Amino acid sequence: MWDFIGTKLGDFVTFTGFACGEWSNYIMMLVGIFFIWLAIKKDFEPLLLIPIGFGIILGNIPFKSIGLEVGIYEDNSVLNFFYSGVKDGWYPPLIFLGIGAMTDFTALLANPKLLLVGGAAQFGIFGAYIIALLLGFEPNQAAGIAIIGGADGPTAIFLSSKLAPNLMGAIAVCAYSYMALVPVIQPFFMRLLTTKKERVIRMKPARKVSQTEKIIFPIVGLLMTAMIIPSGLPLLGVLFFGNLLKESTKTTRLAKTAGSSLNDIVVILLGLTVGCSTQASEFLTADTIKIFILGAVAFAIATCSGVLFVKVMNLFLPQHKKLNPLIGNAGVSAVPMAARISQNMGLKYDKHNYLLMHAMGPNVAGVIGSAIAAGALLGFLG
Amino acid sequence: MVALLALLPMGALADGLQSLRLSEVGLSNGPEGTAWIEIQNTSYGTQNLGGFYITNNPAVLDTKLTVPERIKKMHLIPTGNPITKVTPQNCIVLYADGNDNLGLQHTNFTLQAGDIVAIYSGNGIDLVDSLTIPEDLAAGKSWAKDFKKGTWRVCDRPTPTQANDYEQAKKNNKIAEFKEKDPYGFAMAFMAMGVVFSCLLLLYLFFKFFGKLFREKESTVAPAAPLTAPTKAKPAAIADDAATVAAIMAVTDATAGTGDENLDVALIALAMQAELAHDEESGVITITPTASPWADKAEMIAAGMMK
Repeated sequence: MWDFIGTKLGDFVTFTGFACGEWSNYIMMLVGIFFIWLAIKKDFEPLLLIPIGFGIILGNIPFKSIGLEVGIYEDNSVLNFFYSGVKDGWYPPLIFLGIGAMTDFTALLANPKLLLVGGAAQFGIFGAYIIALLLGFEPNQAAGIAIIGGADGPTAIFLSSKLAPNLMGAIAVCAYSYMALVPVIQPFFMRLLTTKKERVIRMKPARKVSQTEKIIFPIVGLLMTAMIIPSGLPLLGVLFFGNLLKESTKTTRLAKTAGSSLNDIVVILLGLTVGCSTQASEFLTADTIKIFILGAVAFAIATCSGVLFVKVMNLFLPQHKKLNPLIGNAGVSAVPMAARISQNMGLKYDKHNYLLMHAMGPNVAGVIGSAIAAGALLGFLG
Repeated sequence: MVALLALLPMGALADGLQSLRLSEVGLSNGPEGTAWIEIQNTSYGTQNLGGFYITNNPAVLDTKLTVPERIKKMHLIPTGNPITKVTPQNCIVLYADGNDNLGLQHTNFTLQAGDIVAIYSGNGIDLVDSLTIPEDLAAGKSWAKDFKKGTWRVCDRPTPTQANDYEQAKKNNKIAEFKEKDPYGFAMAFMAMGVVFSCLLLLYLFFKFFGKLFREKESTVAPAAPLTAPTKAKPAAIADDAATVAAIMAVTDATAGTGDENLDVALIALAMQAELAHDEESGVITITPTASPWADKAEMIAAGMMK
């Protein structure tokens, strides 16, 4: 009997994480701990970095695959079931539903030309696409990586799950990491590309927007975008649907659920499973380093193109309608961080110049713009 | 722990047991007219086929065989070579030419119509996957698995090393076309940015003219403002918006300004009041309280909600 127990315990030891682990697993666990530290100590996107950080630790606990159905990549495991929302791309639309239900498009409707600023910032995506191709990525992989420039986590996950599933973990972590670093990346380029005189431009107060306009916007918005680019339907459809729930004023309960409870549930599952998907064997590669470099380049191009586009627009606008170029950075869709940076930068140069409301226009336009860009890339390559 | 021990099988199975699947076989359309077997890694992690066994001998399926007897009837795929590592969602092709001296992708058996193909894990016990080639499989065609439907079918255009389903093949063609015709991505950037700007431009034009129309309609239809209402309505609106902006600032402005939150709030409230004083009026003044559009945004920011 003792021989039997000894044999079984010997077998058992070979199945422990300590026996199966490699140094790369431990490195990834440290990365996970670092993310949690950033979230708690530095307050960098805690709602996402804590689930992702813990997911990284969870996903890198080594085990021997013997059909127990415990790993995230093993069919029928619980984690694999959670992961289906990422793999099959149905978490991102649910998050877009919440975004639509929470987003106020008033600033955009009051000044519709800000839509174009949101479009200009999407140059970041295509600049990164060109550089990714030069670095040797396949067109579908380049597209999955480049969408990081849209500064939109759900869109990045949605597109990479369709076009480059094996890079999705790195792309998702990169997208969310840089979104947390928007306050670090953007101000440098905003200062670099604007003069002191431009930074103190005071924009005309926004006009009043009627409730009718707000109700019509999601319907017309859906028709005018999804009819042109149906491949963006999963994101655009639910974004505008969520917004109609909010603006109709008759479905407040549904809008609140979509924007709070439902959104929180999906964020928890998405963050955790994205973290889990970063297994060391797939994550610690040269491609991941390239993806992180490309992500930074994409953010820089997006910021610069947004700011420069506002400056170009100002050449054609009358004096009383000029835009402050500090709102150009908000064309990336990191809501509301990018608009908050415009606000803070504006106050730094003029203590009475409040840009937050104006910057929310390109910011929400960026959400629409990046979803359209993702739809276009999917349409061409998917 | 006892329960866990009970779950452990006697032998450790190799990784990839769940993920390596037979995906396609062809009889005479491999190099120099040889038969071939495609094995797909269906997972998103790299799997190693090295150490697995493959055979066309149906006798191995007999569960009464001892492990050494079964192993003797099968071809061992060599270990220790990176060629046998199959990257996520990719395939490896083995050539069934009966000449395994040619390399580790060559087997010691050949294939005929009606044969079986079976893969066993490294312990020689666990059947990983198996298939039977149809008796009437014609030369130039293949027997392929559609992973989406989980069914096998005769494929007129064999796709060794590529995904079997038509949709995936179409996608691969699209990608290959972009790779060939647009190696630097300029065409993609031009076209996709064109799409983005077209959509946003349409929205801009619609809401520019619709907004204008709506304002004109309001100013035409709306009666003159009653004299009694403004004194009550306007301060309420100002207070509402100012409070909202103050709430926004309270959560957003940690770094800017003087550092004195009360002062910032007061300044914003005053600025808001100044803005409202010069805003375009709708022509209809009501004392019915309405929710400010910024209230929800304040909630959103306060909740730290982001994408």
